[in-house]
Amino acid sequence: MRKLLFIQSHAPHGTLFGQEGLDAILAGSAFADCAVLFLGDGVYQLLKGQATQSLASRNYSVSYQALFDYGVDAIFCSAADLLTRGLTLEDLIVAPTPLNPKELEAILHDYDVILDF
Amino acid sequence: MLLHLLNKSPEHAALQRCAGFIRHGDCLVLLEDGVYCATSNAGAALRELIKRGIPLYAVSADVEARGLSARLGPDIKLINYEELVALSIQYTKSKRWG
Repeated sequence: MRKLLFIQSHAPHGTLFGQEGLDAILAGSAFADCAVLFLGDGVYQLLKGQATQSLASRNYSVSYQALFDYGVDAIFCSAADLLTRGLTLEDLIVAPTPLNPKELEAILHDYDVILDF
Repeated sequence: MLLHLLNKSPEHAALQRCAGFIRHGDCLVLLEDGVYCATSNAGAALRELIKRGIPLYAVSADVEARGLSARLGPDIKLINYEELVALSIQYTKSKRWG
């Protein structure tokens, strides 16, 4: 089975990348072996406590909890990008595996296809 | 008296770029992804503006949507859309950065 790596690299709500990316991961999980990597501002996708009532936008962040139910258990993030934003794993809706630059480089090469959001 | 509007996160370095153009008497409003610049971790450019006494605002709807309510520095005043409109009237000119 081909291995797909979805990369979330935008903060939520400012653009549609996050929502589109999550939808694509959940759909893709029906057909392929999927993993997701949170890079740069993408780590903000997972921040707890998002409340979008005042914006005309859906709080899709809660749906990240469904990743495990869809069989997506390979969830990674850049350790450095968490640190520079003052975030810890406890601040996040699901806890990704933090990777160092060497490990990030390795997974970019390991997967058959990379899908950027 | 210029109203500066910033809608990009620190990743885009927009704050560093605009900070040099903010004079005494101006104010800065952070909105959309710009509110990430208001987190206490945001760095030197924001601290410098605070030190200079520049009024700093963040749009509360954008702060809440991103889960940042508990992460803002104490020198950032939260505003709603009505207050944003009032500021845009009070300051005769505005400049959007991002």
